[in-house]
Amino acid sequence: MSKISLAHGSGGVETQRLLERLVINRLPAWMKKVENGLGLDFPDDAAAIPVKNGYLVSTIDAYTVSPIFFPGGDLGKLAAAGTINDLLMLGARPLAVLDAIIVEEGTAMDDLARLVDSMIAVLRGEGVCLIGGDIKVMPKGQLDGVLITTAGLGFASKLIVDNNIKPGDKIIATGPLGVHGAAIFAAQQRIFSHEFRSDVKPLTKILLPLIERYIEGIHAARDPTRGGAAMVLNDWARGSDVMLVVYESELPLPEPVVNLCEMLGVDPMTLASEGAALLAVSPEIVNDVLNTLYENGCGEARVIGEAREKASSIGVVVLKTLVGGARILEPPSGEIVPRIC
Amino acid sequence: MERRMDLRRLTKTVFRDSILASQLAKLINDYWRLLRSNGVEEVKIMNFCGTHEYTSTHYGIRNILPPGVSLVAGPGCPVCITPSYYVETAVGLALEGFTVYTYGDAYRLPAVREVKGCRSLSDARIAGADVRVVYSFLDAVRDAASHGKPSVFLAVGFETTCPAYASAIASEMVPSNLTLISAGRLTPPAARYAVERVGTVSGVIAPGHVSTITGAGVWRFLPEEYGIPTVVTGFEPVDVLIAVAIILRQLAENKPGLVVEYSRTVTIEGNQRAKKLLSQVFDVVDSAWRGIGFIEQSGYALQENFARYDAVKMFGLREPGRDGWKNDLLPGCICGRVILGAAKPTDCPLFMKRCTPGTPYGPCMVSAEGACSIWARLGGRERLVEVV
Amino acid sequence: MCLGVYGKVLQVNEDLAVVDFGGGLVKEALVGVEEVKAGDYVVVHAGVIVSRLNENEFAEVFNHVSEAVQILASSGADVADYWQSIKTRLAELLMQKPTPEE
Repeated sequence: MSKISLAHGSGGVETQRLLERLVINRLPAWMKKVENGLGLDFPDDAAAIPVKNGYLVSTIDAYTVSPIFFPGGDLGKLAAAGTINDLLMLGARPLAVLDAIIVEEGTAMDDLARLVDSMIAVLRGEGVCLIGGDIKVMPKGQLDGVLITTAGLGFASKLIVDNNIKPGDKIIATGPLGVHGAAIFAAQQRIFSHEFRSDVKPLTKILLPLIERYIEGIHAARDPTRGGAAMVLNDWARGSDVMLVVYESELPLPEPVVNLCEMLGVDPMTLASEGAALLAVSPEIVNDVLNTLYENGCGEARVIGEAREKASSIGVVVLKTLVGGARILEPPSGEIVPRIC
Repeated sequence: MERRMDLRRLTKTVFRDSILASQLAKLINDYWRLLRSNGVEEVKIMNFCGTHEYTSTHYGIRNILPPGVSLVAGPGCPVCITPSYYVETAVGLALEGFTVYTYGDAYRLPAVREVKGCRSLSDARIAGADVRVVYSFLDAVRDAASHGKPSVFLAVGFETTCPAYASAIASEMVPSNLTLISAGRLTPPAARYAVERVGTVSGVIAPGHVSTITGAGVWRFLPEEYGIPTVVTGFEPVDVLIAVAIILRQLAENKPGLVVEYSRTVTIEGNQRAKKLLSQVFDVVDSAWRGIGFIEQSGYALQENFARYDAVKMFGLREPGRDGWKNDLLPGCICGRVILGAAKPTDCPLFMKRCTPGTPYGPCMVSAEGACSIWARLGGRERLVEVV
Repeated sequence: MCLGVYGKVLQVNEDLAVVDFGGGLVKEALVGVEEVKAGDYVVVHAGVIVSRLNENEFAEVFNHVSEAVQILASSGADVADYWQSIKTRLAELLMQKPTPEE
């Protein structure tokens, strides 16, 4: 009898297959989306329902992280920022959030209060309302700490659906990659260093100006959370039926992240960012987009690759390596465990 | 005060340099042209070590080399070659209530036979057993000492890893509740086996970090007895390119020899302290390699006076006889040929179908150093550059 | 097979050393070699210092490449172009001003 393993929740290939098997493939076509909207028919950050002059965009995510408080943030901040970012990635302005908190019996009241406070602080800072919620308590031992589920609502006049990438489009990273994943990993490995701080933050101030000015030329947007940039780029190549070429020399991977990954044998491209986005934009606007990003505090934004016509045998992501070689950038698969040898 | 280079940074700037790499590629190409004009049709270089396989794949080096020069994997992945019996033993003990420690790589290693429905330590943990993944033996020693529960360490590894066990045992750091399943292995006998069986190996990129312990001298038999150019090599991409250039140079000159490219940390003699510890604690015995079989004088067994650390002896487990180590792979798995460089991961019909990093079927798909896992996770393919 | 990570020894206390792996990563490691002292650069494998890095040997690359180039040149190949590039580049990389140690 097969059982659920941690790999099923790691955001890679196994998560995707599990969702397909458990949910998506069991739905008839009409159930996967509201007519003229976006839903489970296409894997993206959020769903959309057509309304007057645009779309009501909605998303839901369950957040769990160990440790609950980590350098640079906590579960509450992660839940608020993650939900806001998922709305933004579809081209929506975030309006409201609902939350459901499940907490283990015996959790310190102060800890729970800190989590909720930091969730509220993020929402307040972004002008997003908290319009509903629920709280449940589980008996001691039946849950490890706290789990927060947040649903988000937003409005988009036009959607950024990630199946629209064209050959020639440039791939932009708005900031460093793998930073959140590295911070969590370091904390789990009990590596304490001021250099590992999660980048978790809402991307509203970075994304909204781009959405307002350049939405026609933005062909895909995604925050590389679970599964990292490797997962996003593979989703994109498949969704848009193009080949993506990424230049290793251009990847914004901070040195501490690379060092940690080398030490533990993990590919930084599979680690999560919670404060950066990947964009695919048409070549005509790439410089304008970059300049807007620079103006809005993304000094490290840069082009990391481009889309090309799909070559006959491979509909994939190809990484040109530092030393002029090439390899396929595979989507992450399996549970991430440190290696020895 | 003396100002010194930061050698970590120097390593990265020199040995990952794109300009050096592109110029070395030209040198390698010219050598290939020269060899071809001398009638050489194929140069097959074995990168013995899993970490070299990682470098070759991670940096896409196969796509820099000329079409006639190929890099093939070797038996240099300690997790891949750990016999199924040891995994089954560890799983069995875990399900009986022992705390079982191992490294991240061995944690998901699948056995051939299920033990009470569990094929790996990962399965055992899902079934409720206490299995703990550690980064070093020292972590396990400290953890086991802190809780005092009966504990076992699945002690895999080559010459690089085994001194940690020897050192902790010899200095009596290991708490009385912790025993080892001693599955350590020696690399030179496996290299001998591989070049004898595969036969067509034109050069060997010999293990860098194994050689820090053993000394580069242990590889002399390759050029001397088999006429195979052998380069003890570092793990950065430029290291590997230089090693390829050296091997091609020796082939062109027809002067096979031993070269230590990784001289920044490898000596001919090796690490005397570690070698002494190994010989104080372990006997070298004939041992089984998964997918290969018995190789003479290729395993570390705990000496009689350290029997109290030996889980197999302490718990009255019986090791299989010589024939009991056969059939160590599941039907259809070709890991045995992959680790001997006789097949590429992509030659296996199960590769990325029945066998994936998420649901590994064969041992080479599990370890971060296993050739199949590396190809699967890092997109190892040949001749990709032509499409880009 | 045997991942080795380079680090700098910060302090040694009998059989235990504190090693800085760069990027703020600091971990303990067992001393597995003779005579390690603070300031040494070492290779750490699975929590054990297995060897030291020898600064003088970094320039050895030059000799390996030089030998390969000369033997190729003696067969009549035109190596001038890339040999010059390699020499210049290696000199640049190896003769860099010592970076102040953090």
